[in-house]
Amino acid sequence: MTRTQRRRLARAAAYAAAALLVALVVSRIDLDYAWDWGRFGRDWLGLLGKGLLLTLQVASAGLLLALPLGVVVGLCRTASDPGARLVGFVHVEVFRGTPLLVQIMIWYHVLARPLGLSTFGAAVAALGCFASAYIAEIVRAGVQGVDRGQMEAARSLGLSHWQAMRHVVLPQAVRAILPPLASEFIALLKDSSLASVIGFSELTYQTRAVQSGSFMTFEPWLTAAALYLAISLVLSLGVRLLERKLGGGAAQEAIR
Amino acid sequence: MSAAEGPASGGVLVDARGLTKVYPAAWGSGRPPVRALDGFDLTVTEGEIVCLIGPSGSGKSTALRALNGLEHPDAGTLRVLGHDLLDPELDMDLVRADVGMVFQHFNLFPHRTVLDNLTLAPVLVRGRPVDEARREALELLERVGIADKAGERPGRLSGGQKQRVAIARALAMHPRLMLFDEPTSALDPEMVGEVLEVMRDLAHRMTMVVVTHEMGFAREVATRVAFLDGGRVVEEGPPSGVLDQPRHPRTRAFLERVLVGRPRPTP
Ligand SMILES: Nc1ncnc2c1ncn2[C@@H]1O[C@H](COP(=O)(O)OP(=O)(O)OP(=O)(O)O)[C@@H](O)[C@H]1O
Ligand SMILES: [Mg+2]
Repeated sequence: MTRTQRRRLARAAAYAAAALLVALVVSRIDLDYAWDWGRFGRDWLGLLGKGLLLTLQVASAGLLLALPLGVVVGLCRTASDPGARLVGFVHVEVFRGTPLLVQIMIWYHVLARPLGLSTFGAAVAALGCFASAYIAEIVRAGVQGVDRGQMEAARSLGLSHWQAMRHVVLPQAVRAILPPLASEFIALLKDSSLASVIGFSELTYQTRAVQSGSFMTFEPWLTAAALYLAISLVLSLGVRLLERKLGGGAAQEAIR
Repeated sequence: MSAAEGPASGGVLVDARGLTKVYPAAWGSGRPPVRALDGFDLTVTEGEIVCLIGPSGSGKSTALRALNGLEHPDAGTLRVLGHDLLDPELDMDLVRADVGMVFQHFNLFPHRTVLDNLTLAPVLVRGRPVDEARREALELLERVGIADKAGERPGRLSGGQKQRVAIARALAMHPRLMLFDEPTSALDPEMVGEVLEVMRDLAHRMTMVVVTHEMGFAREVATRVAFLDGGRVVEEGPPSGVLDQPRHPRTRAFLERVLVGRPRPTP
């Protein structure tokens, strides 16, 4: 057997195994389940729509908080000032080192009252701070991936650290930062489902409400999954377009 | 204004005394710390062209980079353009704006056009109007012979062209002192000449400190050659002295090594 033949056989075996597994699972799904998309669409879909709206709101607000905060913290971690580096380090470790569910509980039960936060506010703060820790690491890696000589050349011309960062280093780091940033946006969107535990009636919360109100399970959960997936795909495509736009000109040359 | 911030006195642009710089060993490497500078002295007066030569690891780059604050010596005194570079209160950006630096690997900004490489600092740091900065940048590119590449990205240039752009970029800030760290070492041999030509031309109007292995250039252009070994200047003087009648055995050994295979200079 040649190498190509062996490889083809292995691939066929893998596909067959995967298909078998899916078939096994599907065959064991409750076939007697009484689908009723009609009733679901008429009586309950509206509630999911309301939840979807709040999911979009809390996720975008969380993103609006996470992005600038993450960039600032990430830049702090690359700063020469040891104080700034320490602040950045602590921020990342604290928000990355504890479960998001626990953080949401703390924002809601411990911090919401002294800070005057609504349920929405607590959810946004929790999601935003949590995601900012990951974004900070993405930004730091992107900045550190740019040749040190770029910063040195800019500083040698008299630019300040921040001028050099803004006009020389960051524009070159953007290409490396965008793809993992897209993953982080999607993670933030999905993580927003955890806000249901503090009674914030976003998509997951509403799906559970629909389940207990209608005694339907398949329709609401599959619909919720499809809705999350749809937003994720839009986010993915958006970032892909942005990448293409940036990649066409300047950044492409930068790689050479 | 205190004396420390006054203008360079008597045309002395660089006054380095007893500089030391120790790089701590990498953690857990088991190796001893490196004394990159160990009693480094150098004076450069206006109009001088000083070439730093010496074996690899002798501290040439560290010394040069100390002159514009890219490295911070641990001890000694260092005055550049009248500023005390070891004063923690000093605004280093002010000094750097007046000291040009040219790197071995060019370090052009790849995301900007050649022209924008030249105008970035004059506009941001000096606050020059954009159109004025552009006009002057084009003149500078003309002078180094690549005005036709103004709209290109650096990635499209040859090594020699890149280094000429890098020199023009530094000149766009109207520096009073230019530092070069092996500006031709990363170039294909056939491109060395065009860069040295630009530097030779510049030498008539600029004070320069040049780390180089180009002994021909040093002999022809330098007003003074300083030979470094072990982080200090062990011998310095006019090129005819240091390069042709070296007194220190280390200098002699070094020159014998780098001049091997090349025609012996005729004094
Ligand atoms: N950032 C650093 N960390 C640790 N050691 C360093 C660092 N920079 C330089 N050194 C060490 O300091 C010594 C002097 O280095 P330097 O680069 O100044 O030498 P050089 O004369 O420029 O050599 P070359 O001709 O190879 O460029 C060397 O032993 C080098 O390994
Ligand atoms: Mg060197």
